[in-house]
Amino acid sequence: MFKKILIANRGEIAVRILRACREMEIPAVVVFSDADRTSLHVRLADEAYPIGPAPLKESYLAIEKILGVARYAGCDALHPGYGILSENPNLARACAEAGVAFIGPRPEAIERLGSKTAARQLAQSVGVPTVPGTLEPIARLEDAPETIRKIGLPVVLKAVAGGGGKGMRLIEREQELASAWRDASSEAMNSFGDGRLYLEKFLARPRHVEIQVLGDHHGHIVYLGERECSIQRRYQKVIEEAPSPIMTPELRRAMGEAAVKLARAGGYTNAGTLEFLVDMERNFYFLEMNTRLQVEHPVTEMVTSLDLVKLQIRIASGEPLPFAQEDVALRGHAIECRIYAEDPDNHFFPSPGKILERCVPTGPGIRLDDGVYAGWTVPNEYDPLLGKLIAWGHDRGEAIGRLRRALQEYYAAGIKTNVGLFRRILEEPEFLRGEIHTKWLDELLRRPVISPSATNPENGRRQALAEDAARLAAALWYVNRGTAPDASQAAIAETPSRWKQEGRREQVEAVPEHR
Amino acid sequence: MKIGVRLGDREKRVEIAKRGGRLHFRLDGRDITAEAVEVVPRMYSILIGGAAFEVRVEPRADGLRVHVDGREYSAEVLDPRQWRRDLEKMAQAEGRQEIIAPMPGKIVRVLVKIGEEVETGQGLMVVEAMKMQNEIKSPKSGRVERLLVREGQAVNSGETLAVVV
Amino acid sequence: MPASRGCGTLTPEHSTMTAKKHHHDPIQELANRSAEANAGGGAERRERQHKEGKLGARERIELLLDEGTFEELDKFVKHHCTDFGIEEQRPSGDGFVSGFGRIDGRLVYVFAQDFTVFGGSLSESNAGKITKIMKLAMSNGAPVIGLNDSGGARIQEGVMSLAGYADIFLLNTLASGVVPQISAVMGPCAGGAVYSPAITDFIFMTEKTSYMFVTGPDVIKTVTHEEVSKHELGGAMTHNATSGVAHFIARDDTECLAMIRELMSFLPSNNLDDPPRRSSDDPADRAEASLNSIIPEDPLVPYDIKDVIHAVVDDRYFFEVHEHFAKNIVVGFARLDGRPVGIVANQPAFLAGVLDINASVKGARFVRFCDAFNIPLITFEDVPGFLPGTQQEFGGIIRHGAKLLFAFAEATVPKITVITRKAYGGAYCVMASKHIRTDMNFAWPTAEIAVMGPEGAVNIVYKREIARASESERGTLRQEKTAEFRERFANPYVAAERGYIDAIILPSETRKKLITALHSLENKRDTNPRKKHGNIPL
Repeated sequence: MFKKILIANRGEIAVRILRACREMEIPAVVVFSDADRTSLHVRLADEAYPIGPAPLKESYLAIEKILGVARYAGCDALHPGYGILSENPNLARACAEAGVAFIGPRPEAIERLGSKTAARQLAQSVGVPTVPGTLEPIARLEDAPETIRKIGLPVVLKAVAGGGGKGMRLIEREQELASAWRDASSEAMNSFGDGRLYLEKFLARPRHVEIQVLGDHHGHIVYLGERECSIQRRYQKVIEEAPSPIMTPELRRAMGEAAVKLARAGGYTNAGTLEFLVDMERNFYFLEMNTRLQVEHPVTEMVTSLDLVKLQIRIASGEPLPFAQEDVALRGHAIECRIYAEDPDNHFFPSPGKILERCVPTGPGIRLDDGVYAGWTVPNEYDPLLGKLIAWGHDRGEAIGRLRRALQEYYAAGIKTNVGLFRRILEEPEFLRGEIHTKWLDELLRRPVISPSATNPENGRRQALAEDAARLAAALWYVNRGTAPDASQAAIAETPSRWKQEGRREQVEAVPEHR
Repeated sequence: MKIGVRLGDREKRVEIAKRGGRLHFRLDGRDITAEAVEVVPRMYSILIGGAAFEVRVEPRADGLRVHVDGREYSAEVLDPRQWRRDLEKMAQAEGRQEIIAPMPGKIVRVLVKIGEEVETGQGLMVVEAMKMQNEIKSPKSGRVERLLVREGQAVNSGETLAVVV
Repeated sequence: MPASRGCGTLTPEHSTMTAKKHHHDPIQELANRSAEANAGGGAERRERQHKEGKLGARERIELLLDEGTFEELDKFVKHHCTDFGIEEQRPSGDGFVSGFGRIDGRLVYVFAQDFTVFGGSLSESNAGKITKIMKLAMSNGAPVIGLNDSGGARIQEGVMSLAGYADIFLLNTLASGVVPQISAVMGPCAGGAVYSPAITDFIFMTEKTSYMFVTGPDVIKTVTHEEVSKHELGGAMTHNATSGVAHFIARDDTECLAMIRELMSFLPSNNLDDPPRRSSDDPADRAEASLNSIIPEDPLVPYDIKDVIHAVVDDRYFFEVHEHFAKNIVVGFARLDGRPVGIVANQPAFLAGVLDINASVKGARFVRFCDAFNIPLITFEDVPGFLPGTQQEFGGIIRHGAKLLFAFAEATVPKITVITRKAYGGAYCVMASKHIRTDMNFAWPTAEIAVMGPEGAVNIVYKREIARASESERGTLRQEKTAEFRERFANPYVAAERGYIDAIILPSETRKKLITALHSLENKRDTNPRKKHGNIPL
């Protein structure tokens, strides 16, 4: 086993990995930027080293600095977390050169499976279905009609360099092609400086379902069930759950085996996730692979009773997987929401600031993976993820009930959070029935908010009383604010200086001087 | 203590009286059976009849936020004893507005023409006084009805420079 | 309660009481007498008052003070006049409500004239109520707040009413500089009555419902044949903007009373106490980068000094005094690290911030108030000089300008000056310069401390050279010399070499520097030579 692990990340995931290290009694070293001196991961670490100014490029993305710390502190392994450098093969390679074990796949596997195009080509070569379409950019508009006839309408034009819906156009009839091509190409050019486009079959209301895999260095690869991640706001996952409400044992086996086949073909080791789209007929298409630990890994942990981070460490140290595929049993249901410091009233823009007070939910079936504390200022230099609230129940209904209850207990003052959004989603009948797809949340957010009183008179009465209670509390706060010890309105009494008192008396005294 | 509390967009009058060590509440002139305890600073446990609520009050730079039952409201306390400094300070003038020279000086530039549509705060002309150029701004959005000065002209304090309707 | 009527030697209340009840109930009698006093001039007159947008005397006091803190005195005072049939009406309290209470928990004395009783007119008796609370205020070191709404002297009382006024004027004068005195004019205030507010420290007026003048429109018409309405002559805006008699204008009674409370939060209770300090969430070292570029490159372009003030003070909150009068100087209260300060600032955005008669008087009175009540003075200076012109010279700019100089020189409270741009000539000396005992003199790098602006200086210093030069060369010569002069003198370094400037500071760090300096001056002691009083050039 490793002697010391360097965690090349920050925020909640750094804390998550720290916790695993501590449970395994392996000393953990963290790195931090100037903006993170007081962050929780620094507070909890065994050793912590500064690596430069706040901008990611100058700190958390600076491979040489991080490996310098690894050498200095005598680390024999490095965990990259997610995001930041986790999918950069250069880090994996630099680790190998420095003799530090990289807790993740080998650099070649990252290159083979981490690139969208390469991974899809590999998928096609081993017979794993991908969304029908061209993988290569289409050189000329004239070549497009033939391809369209091959895949069948409707299709989507997508930017090769794309993301975030930019340079994307839906084509339902062939006549629309020319103008869609023109628009998408110029949009892609403006957004990414690359106007090249490719074509893909358009899937109506697809779901995003992903398979967690785990492979050791002894040729064993297993899948640990799926995660349903269709609740997304502008392509960003918001709520994830396991298992998926549409899953059947047959489909799970089919998808799991496809995932393992592809991972094996790519020579994959350690934890990884293969993302699929699932259409309304339960056909699945491979999308891409994330060659790292996922943000949403806790839901898998909850239903499999496994600790993925510890398993990652064991695998990286050369241990074989301690179980086989048939030992993997799924139990119950888990749902996670990603709590961000975002302003829901202002387009979910990041809302960093000081967390003045905080109350975190506890109780049965609740897990909170976070990296913040009351009194800490959420820096505005980084992703404003505060943490993840995960609920487990013996079925989906119980998990939802627990999550709702926990959200009601969750409170953070000083910053704005997206907690209200989860409350709203967890009340939606379509969500409760599991009838969701990747555009569902964006559509929901375009609909007006219906107050609970409109749908349920009992809720309405409770809400009216709650509002009165809120008024009383506000009034009481106002009345007492002058006497509260921390109130800014409070007058400060100071001990008068004798020197000053004497001077003042001298100024106003009427008696003549006798000097 | 009688104050108004606006929650969201609805205001109610709240009266709090302390009698015999107990707090008594009235809402919009009606007595209500309520009991309130500040459990920890800014967190109130409030019982109205049998209904129990935990209310958190959070003063923020942009106003008061109140959390109850998993919902968050913006709130405002309206106390007649508290002077509200910025109240409608920026309200735009109404009706026909004569633009008066605030000081004696010379018109160095006229920035608008008769009949031109102007916005509140838009510069109408520049008056130079004591070698300092001051922009005279329109007090309202409207149309320049009259222009009574030309560039280079000297004006006295109180002289009408233009009319905006 | 029926209106009381005089009846022999028996008090009217007593007669009604005995008619109703057979045995005497002292508890009930007090209640009845109290209710009669509380009723003032009756529901009908109070209704009329409300229709005019005015509150009753008791309602005003109720709103002014912390809830439930008012303790009334002299509730049963009555007049003793027996002329013109006025002896038929002797209401309890005699049309004045007076007593003490709390504002933000601090003791204040207060009186309010009740317009519903004899038009709020002043009698010997109710003048006695005022002088009583003023004496109490002076012995207890607490401010006095007067809410004026009075038709004037009670004519029936003749010279006794005048005596009442004079008694009040004397106490106003004696209390001046001992405890803060605040007047609100919330209705008529005419004739000799104006001089009580005039002596007090601050006058508030309500828009539309108040007016003040020594002689009214009717007299003016007879004497000078001028036609003028009451409000044109003495309305709130007239006195706030034109005459400078009033310091604050409020939309209505409620706002007026809230503004008085706000003002009180900056003032100490008396001339020995410090003004109340509050805790502040605004960081003392908050840097304000915008200030580094607030001075326009073009010296002809003005900027708003209030932007500087807001950027520097706690929570950007500045409580301006005399906002509408002599706008070329800005005065008011703010807090620095929770400590109240008085701010005096030249306003380049109005008349280039020049000092004229009104600006000098406005500034001088404010400086003296702050000095009397231990409020440190912060001066922001950008002044091109005194306003030239016959109007100013004939009006006595010499003696008026001298007031500001006198006030700054005489002041012994902590004094800090920040020169943002121009500090020219005599105005430099006046505006709290080092030479007149200012404790800390800061300058921004943009400061120009000189006898006059470069153009003017060149015209004098190089007069002969310019005259000798040919017509064509003259322009270039002047430009060259101006540039040379600007380079040499239009900066803060010459003054700093002499120690006239203590430090040249980054504009962005002004807040931090002021707070640090203010903190160091917290226990400052300084005195003036023993004298009866100075002779400020009034």
